[in-house]
Amino acid sequence: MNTNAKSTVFQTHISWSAHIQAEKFRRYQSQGSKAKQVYLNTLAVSVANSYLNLLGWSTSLVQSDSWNPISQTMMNVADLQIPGYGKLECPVVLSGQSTVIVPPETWSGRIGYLVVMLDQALQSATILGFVPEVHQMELSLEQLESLSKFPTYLSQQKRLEPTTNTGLSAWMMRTLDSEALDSDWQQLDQLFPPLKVMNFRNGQELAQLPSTSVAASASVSRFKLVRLGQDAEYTIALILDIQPFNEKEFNVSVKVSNYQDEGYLPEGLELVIVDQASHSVMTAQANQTETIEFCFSGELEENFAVEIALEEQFVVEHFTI
Amino acid sequence: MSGINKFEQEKHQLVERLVRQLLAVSNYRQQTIAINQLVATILRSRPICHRFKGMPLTGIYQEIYLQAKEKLVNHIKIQTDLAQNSQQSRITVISTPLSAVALYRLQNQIFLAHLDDQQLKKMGLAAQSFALNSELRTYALTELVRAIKFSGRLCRPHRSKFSTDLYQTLYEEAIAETLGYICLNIDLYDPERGDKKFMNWVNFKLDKSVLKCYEQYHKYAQFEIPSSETLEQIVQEIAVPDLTEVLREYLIKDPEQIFSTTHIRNRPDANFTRVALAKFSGKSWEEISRQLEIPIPTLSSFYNRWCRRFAPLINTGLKHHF
Repeated sequence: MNTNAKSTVFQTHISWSAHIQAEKFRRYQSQGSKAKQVYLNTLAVSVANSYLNLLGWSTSLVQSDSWNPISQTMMNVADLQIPGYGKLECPVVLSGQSTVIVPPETWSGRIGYLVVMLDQALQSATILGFVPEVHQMELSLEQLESLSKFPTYLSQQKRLEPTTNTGLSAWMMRTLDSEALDSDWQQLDQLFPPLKVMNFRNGQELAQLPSTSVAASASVSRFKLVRLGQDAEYTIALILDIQPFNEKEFNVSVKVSNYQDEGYLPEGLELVIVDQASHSVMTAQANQTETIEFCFSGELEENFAVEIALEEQFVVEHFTI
Repeated sequence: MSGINKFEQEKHQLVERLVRQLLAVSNYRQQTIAINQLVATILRSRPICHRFKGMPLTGIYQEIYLQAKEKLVNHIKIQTDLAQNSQQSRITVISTPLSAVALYRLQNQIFLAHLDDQQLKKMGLAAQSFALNSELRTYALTELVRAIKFSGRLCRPHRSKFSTDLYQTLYEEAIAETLGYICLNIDLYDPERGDKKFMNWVNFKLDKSVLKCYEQYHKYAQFEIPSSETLEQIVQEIAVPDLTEVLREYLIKDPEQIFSTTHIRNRPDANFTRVALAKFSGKSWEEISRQLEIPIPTLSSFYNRWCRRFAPLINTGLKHHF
């Protein structure tokens, strides 16, 4: 076998600039233990960042929570954002220790964990190995997967597909005949008895109008069913409504309510609107609530995402106006 | 780090055993087999051109490997004949040119002699040819970086401008930055530019990196790297807000009444503010979990999710502090 005992870890000198950055972040903290945590996390992320770049993988420090002083304060976080793929967490361990602590706030939303060991003098660092997921606070270093398998693991990660966006303005142009194209999204009259439909306009009627002269009041609504809960016991209707406001702008409404059953939404259900820059711009949680509705406006071709979450489960839908 | 470890020792013992076997054979065919076996063993520890997932080498990697192999075979053949001629009697001591140390050194010299700009360029172009983020791209870049370092073709720009110690620091920093840049931007490499030399592209970047690193260094010249033991001592030389305090106030004020109304399912008392304040006061997840009687995974995933969602709001709310 062509195995070199040293090739299974990545060793590097910790750069001066990593220390400078760590010091800048540390100075936002007045508690000694927090300051140390922030400093070490920053070094670990820097080391992982260099390693990934040497493998040819682009990273974004500024999009990482570990690079944001507010997030550093709120969480014990050492994440590294890989644009288009997700977050890699870089739990840090000082040399001489046999286990690494993985903070619970980093147990979800990660594509993997790259364990970084720093020497006591903070001069050199070693990436020891990785694990795909973590469910406990303490991880023995012996449990780590060999770093030699990491490039393969990384290249097997699925790219987060931005192409699955549902085009909203296209709904207005579509005739009933082409409905099958969007089978996920059903017409609103299939959700409520026709009498209850207020804004609904027949798609065919709209399709006959030239796009520039679409009546300002014309709106199109569609819905999709989302199943949540331990045993998928809740069926939630996600209802999207789009209406032209002027030449360029559209009014959009995003609504969730129970499907058929008219009672409250499951307690604690979360609805979040995420904008193009991945910022959560609107958030709400159901608390004896029948429906949650967000209304906003956007321009043609603007993207946004809708997140519906219940405890640890969540569903994300992407849209383009 | 230094000295020969157990792994190295075993390697050397194996090579010397093979040399002894080689010197013991007299017929041509057996000698050829023995030399090939010895060379294959030595080449297992080659400095560059490792296999990709155990598969046979191809392209430029195979080309370099085969050239090195041929040289090694020729060299060992000559040394074997010399050794056998000079010592007609039984061979008990391996002559110096055939010692394991000498053979491994020879291997490095042969690879080094072969690794010219043309070969490095081919390795760069090979990396370019594989898809971004593919395993093969990763492999090719790892080999490229190894080869660049091994080749000794990295220049040492602006050396006379700095003291030896300072230069060492700047140079290490600049090399790391340069190699990272090369790997991330290999697709930008244009084989027609830089006098058609690959290392001109690399060294041009290195030259600029050294100066850039010096600028950085100069700006923070007074900064001393702390050790892990001294990290908890707080320096308050620069007036920045104590973020924990600022955040605590902001969460309690809750201008949009959103932190206190966001809570764990069926537990209005376990709201975001409460969990966050407990964290700020230094409580561990175990303590908070015990106090609220909610398991850690539920607590932490709730907290993690809402921290992320509230981040833009909080960043905007606290903007004036930065």
